[in-house]
Amino acid sequence: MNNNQELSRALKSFYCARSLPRARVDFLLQAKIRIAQPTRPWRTIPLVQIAALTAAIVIFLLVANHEEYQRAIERAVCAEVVMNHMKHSPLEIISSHYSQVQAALSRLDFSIMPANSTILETYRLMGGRYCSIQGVPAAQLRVQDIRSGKECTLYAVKAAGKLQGITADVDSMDGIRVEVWRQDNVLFALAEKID
Amino acid sequence: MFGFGESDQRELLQAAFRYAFSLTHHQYDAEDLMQSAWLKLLSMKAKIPAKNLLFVTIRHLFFDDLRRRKIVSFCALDEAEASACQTAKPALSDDVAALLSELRPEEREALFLHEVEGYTASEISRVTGQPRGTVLSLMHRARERLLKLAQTEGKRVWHE
Repeated sequence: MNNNQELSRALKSFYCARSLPRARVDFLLQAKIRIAQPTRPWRTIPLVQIAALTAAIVIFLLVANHEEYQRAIERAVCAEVVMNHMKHSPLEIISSHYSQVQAALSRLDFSIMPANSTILETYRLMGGRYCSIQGVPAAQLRVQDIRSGKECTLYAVKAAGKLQGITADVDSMDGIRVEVWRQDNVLFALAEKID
Repeated sequence: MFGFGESDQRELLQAAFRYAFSLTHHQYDAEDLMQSAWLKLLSMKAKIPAKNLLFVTIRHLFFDDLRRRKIVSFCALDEAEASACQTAKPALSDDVAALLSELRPEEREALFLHEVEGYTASEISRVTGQPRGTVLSLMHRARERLLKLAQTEGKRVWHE
């Protein structure tokens, strides 16, 4: 038998001769039973679950708060659009060509022409003027519904600042229907009287 | 009741104690270490822990304590306390114990897990968190050292 095998045998025999005293074993087994006894429910809730619940509540409040804020902005935009539409302010440029109105409103660095062909085919451009939506410079265009002859107002504003989060919305206020949609980084809003 | 027979539990406690002993090389320290790990796991899980988890917990407690002792030196206030404050020597009398006391805890641990528990180097690596190569090296060095020490001291401990 070589030395390594003898060493293995000696180690095994040495460690197997060591043991935990019976009294200590009994104590530890009793400790197990004591700890396993049912305790008050709040004591059994692990900290990690409390932390997860708290985090979930905080996230929920943040999301809910954000949605509430977004909704408030949309309502404010709608109210401003309706108010401007009802004021019926005089036009600064009278033209049925978007390019001419765009050239006249040279301070606006975005396209005021909607890409939506339905809008272009249904509404005829009459002219435009500067205005602002929530403090952001905008174009206020007067358009005429070819089908009904009704005059409507089309707004084009850069989706910046508070308006950044708005994508699409349909709302009505004081008998005016407002439809909002996003075209790249430009927000359009069409206001028309409900029959 | 716990899905674990009482004799199994007793065997688990004994195995854990021997493992703790391989680290501390001291009967009472091993008892305390094993008890701390057992109670810690029960307070967390309230059920019998798996053997590997118990071993890992024992290991962490042992090395945490070792690190703490290296940072904080306990100074005795008088002579009587000073004599009690000496580094604990293994309270074992036989030759194997004396030889094992020359090894580092990590070396004793690797030898114990391999020779007594029958763990492979990979299994030891999982318990200790050390690379397999390190485990193999620890076992090799520990064996070499024990054989050399036994020869130097002219002990025939392997033939007890």
